[in-house]
Amino acid sequence: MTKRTQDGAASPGPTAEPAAVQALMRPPDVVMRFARLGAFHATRLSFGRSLIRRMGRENWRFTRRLVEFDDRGFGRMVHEIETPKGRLSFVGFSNYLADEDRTDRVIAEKWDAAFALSAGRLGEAALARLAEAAPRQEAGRYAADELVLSRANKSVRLFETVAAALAAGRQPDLAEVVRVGYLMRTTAVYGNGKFGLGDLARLWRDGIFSLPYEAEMLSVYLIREFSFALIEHIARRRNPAGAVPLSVKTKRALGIGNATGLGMAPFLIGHPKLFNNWIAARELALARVRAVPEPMPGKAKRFGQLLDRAIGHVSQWTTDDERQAARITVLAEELAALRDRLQRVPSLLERPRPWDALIAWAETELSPEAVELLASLVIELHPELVDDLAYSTGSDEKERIDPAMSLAELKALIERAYDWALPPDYDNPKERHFFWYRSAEKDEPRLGERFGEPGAELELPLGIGFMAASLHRALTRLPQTALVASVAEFLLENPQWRGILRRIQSLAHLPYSEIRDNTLSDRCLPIDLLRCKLSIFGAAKFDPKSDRWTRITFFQGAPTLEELGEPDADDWGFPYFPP
Amino acid sequence: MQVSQFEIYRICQRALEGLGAPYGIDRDGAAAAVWLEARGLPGLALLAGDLERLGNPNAFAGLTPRMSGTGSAELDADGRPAVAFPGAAVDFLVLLALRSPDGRGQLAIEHCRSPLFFLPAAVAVVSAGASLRLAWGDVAADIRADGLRIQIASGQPWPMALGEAGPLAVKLAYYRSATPAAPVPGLKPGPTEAQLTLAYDRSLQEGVNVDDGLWQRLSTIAARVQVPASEVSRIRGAGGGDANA
Repeated sequence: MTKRTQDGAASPGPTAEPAAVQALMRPPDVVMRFARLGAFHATRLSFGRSLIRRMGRENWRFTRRLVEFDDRGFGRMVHEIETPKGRLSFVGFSNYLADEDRTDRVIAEKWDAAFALSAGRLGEAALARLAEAAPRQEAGRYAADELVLSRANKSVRLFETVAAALAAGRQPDLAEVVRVGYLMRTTAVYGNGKFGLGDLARLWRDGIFSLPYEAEMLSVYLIREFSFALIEHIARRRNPAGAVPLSVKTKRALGIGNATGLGMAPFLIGHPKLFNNWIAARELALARVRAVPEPMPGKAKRFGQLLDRAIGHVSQWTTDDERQAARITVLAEELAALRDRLQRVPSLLERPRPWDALIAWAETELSPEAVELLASLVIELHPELVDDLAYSTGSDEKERIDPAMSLAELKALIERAYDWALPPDYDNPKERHFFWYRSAEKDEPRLGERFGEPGAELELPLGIGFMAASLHRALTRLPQTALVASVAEFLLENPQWRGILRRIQSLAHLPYSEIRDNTLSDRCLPIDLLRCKLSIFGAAKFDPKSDRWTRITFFQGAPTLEELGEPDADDWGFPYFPP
Repeated sequence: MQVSQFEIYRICQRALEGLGAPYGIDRDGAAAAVWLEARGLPGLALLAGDLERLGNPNAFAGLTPRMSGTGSAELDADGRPAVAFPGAAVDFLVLLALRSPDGRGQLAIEHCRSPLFFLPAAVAVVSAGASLRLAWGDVAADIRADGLRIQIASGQPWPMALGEAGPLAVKLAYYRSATPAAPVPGLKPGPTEAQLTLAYDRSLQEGVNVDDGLWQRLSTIAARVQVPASEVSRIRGAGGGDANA
């Protein structure tokens, strides 16, 4: 099962698993590659899913304490949230925004709406301060009681269409609602001490939140509720006598959009213990289900239902991106072929270790998109085997030096645990094509081309493979007699190696902590890393706009506030909305 | 102004990086600064006082120890601030103890500025059953896995006593077995662990109050790690697009 770390977070512990499960863990050389990470889908362990389960299980109470919108829908709204561990407040401000000021980029300075999640109850003074600061986002200052800051823009494709339909007394066209998927799209969700917000340690100490990004996902979920309230208000003001509210069916089809750029990729590389635990939880969940020895009653039927729904979901996943569109086409064909096969030969799922056989077959026969989608589906089959792993996704992130390790042992450690980093010829410009940096423009993380753009001297230390290989090369150049020296002696005299050496010593035993590809090479597609992280959050409908940013949808299909805690509230993975 | 611990870490990491600290050293220094500030100790003021020296070309260069006996060594910091090598020194101290037959390692550091920066690194390495004494001037800190005792000269407010910049002679001793260290004659109890914990809790609850001018100085240096924006970087660097589409 899971084991707890010092700060109360737990890490997945495959060594505590039965040997049969351990043997079914997919090796990092398979999982931790660009192409595979870039094919991940959300699972029931994703943060959005686990949050919905928790809110229902713990009977969180949501109250609209204040709703003040004018005729045009500008104003504010406050939700209060009662949890077993304390009260939270969520405020949203709706403001005027000219179309020409609307941009998905972090460098934007104005938005349609701004939001803050706070500890405790928001008094008038705090509301007044947030009304001034939150619309300015990064330019504002916040207090330690404020935990999350966010903003969103209305969907130009959908918001007005839906408002007009509701005002006319009818529900909007469901196909159009499903195609866009949201009324508002966030472009940043900040937490953990940024701009004076409360530190992550404050969140853990207060005890309301215990999982990574739980507070941020709650904010995103409440932005969805805000968007419902706002559009219903606008429709009512346009036609007080005839407007209708959103139906539950329409609400379910509406999530919250998100536009995400490069920042997520450096995060994964910069938080390797956290990343390891996220992937390890997912892989351990898959291995536990694969290790189920015999078919269990009803599971094959349930899988068929999930597969049908996923096929429907994929049919409603659209994108203009050629690469992703081609992958979706293949995915749809592969899933349909699998359904046909299972209908022709149902005994395929009635043999020993049915889910292991299915995944093993998929690994050899299907595209990574399909393999990873099937992985998500089989994980869905056995909540009783996997749901505890949601609590193993935290990490203390501490890295430690082993001062007594000899340089010979260190060199052998690199050859064993960082073998993937050694083969590239880093003297070849293609292997060092990119550099990651922080732009002076709002501190936006960016990716530059080393041999054609200025700034490489300010490169972020994100080329882990290159750095590990460089350390290995430096050790190789030492005379054999020098390799008896210890790491502590070496680092005292050679401080330039401290960061990468500590990383190697700290992560060598964490199989899923490193991306086992060269993040500097011209083959690096940041979109793969964005997809990986977003899937762990629970994102769907990936719609890449380039190889460096993507739009996605959160919480499409999720229960509304009123539906939390209902028996089927957790069954919303890969949602499909029949016409 | 009130800032978060995250902001202190980030500004210190970037300032150190901007001054030339290698990857790893910058993070050690930033972690030490936020550990101190969050407990009401003068991490930022000491760092600010050392900025000029940290800008020297050799500020982050390696150090060569001189062995002075079994389990004992000396370093000459040559006026360098401790923030430039806190982890490296403490790791080396632990190595001395591991290699010593009696389980005791001793490291004497001459001409070292702002030795308070060794305290967080020392707290981080002391494992169960071990102990570490860190001493300079009129300060002695005894660190065990289950507690921290700080002694200072009487009559001084403790942030001032601990915040002495120097250069100073620093002594570190690591004991693999937690021999209770005797109180240092002439010194009085300094901040207790309970006081430091209270200060830490307050900083989580309210943020950390920092001097605006000092923050601005650090911000200016931290900005050195950012690449100036250009139209090319804006378009090619992170993608773009029409949000109204």
